[in-house]
Amino acid sequence: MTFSMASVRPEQGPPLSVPLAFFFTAPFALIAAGVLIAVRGSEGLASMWGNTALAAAHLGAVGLLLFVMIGALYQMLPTVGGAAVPGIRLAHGVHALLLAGAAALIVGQSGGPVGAFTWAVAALLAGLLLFLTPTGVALARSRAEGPTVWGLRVAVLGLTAVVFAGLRLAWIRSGAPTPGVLASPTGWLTLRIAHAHLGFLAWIGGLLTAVSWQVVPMFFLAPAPPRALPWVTLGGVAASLVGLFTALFVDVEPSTVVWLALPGALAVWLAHPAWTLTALRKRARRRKDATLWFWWLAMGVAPLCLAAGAASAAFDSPKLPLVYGTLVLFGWAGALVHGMLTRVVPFLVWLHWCAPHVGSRPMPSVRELLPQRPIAVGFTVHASTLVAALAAIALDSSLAWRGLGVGLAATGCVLLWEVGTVVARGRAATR
Amino acid sequence: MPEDDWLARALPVEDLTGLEPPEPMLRILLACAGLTAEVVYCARLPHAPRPLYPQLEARGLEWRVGLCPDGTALLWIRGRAR
Repeated sequence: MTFSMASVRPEQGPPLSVPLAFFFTAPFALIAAGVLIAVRGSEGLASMWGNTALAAAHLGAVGLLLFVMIGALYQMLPTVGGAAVPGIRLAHGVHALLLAGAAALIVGQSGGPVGAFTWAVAALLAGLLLFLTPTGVALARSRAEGPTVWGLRVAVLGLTAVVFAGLRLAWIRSGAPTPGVLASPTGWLTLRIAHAHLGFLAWIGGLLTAVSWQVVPMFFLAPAPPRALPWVTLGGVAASLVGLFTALFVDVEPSTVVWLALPGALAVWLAHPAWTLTALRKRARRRKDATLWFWWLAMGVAPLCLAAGAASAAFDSPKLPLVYGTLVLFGWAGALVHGMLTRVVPFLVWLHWCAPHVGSRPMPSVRELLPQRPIAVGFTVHASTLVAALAAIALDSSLAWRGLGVGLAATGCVLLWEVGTVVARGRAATR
Repeated sequence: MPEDDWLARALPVEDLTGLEPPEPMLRILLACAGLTAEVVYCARLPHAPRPLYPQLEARGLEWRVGLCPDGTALLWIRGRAR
């Protein structure tokens, strides 16, 4: 037995207000995406590059996923990596800058003034530098050596790369001159595809896989992954990260970018769900748990993301990239993030607010902070909205698109109800 | 570590490996209410309970963690000697 007592110190995570500020932004992004689509109907949704489609995709990728994942990184780095993020109070500045930048980006993408892109570039760049600098310092200082910490490192590098590509796109859309390699006929498309896949695989995929190696065994009492699997997964993600980032600087065909994404896609959408579903089947404690349904949904959708991505690359149909983006952002990552919030927020509220009073007065359990019923309602609305999205893409009717908008807004409202309930009950218990 | 001979006093070991978070922490904090320097509490956990450390610190408790080869952790807690 190894005694770690000499190095045992209270590992202080961030104040609860830091992750909560980021987590609470996510429902509003879903509501905004829903309202946007419900108001516009089929306008700007004929292809992935339409105004409404781009704005809705970024409300999902930035408003929902980026905010939740940054909140999760602030929370996980001290506990998993054993390294506190310096200047943690700056996180509220990061939140404000990202919020302003995301709002300007959505205004620009949904057909607003071109100048909005300039504001988006400035605010997003400032916010992400303020996030990436101390986070990078913490990750560099971390002495933890497990695959989860390396996964966090790869994910943060992935975020840096996707932001770099995204800011280039936004900068060009703001009216700035197009630099060399992007002036070629395919350069613009290559940059867009590389940007999307850096986000899907290196940033979102890198973080979600790394986090799940930690939380699946911890929260569901499931077996840890086999020793080699996380490293193989990481290798695939890292290979795609390097390849896709390199593609930003050289004149390559869009079809080449798809091949560069393949190692990461196989790791994230095939190897990872195969392990996760096996581990969840072997979980030690089998009681009703609605948060599990989100995992099953996301892991079931993951191979479909791979298939939809391959189909988008192989066939020239404007609907296939819409299906692909919907599956990735809402069916896979969105479902996983929604499910994790219903598990992590009650845990954090209990840890920060209830645990200090345990032993001195009665405190609610995590299941009393967020009962199963709201989670089950959240899952039903989320899964139904995914079906509505696929139906809207297939039918391409204004009514179907507006129905999807209502579904997205409803998903956001339920998510707000879920996290709001936890905070309200936690506050009431400790008042 | 001769100053750690109090670890040998902790019997029996409460097995908390089959509980989902934060149930092990709840059990430990309830068990720790009123611990003295003479009474030692010991539990086996599925992993090192990092989020628990600030709670133990805030309660003025003394604790040790041992990591086992199977990935589980043993936690010993006692009240601080006055």
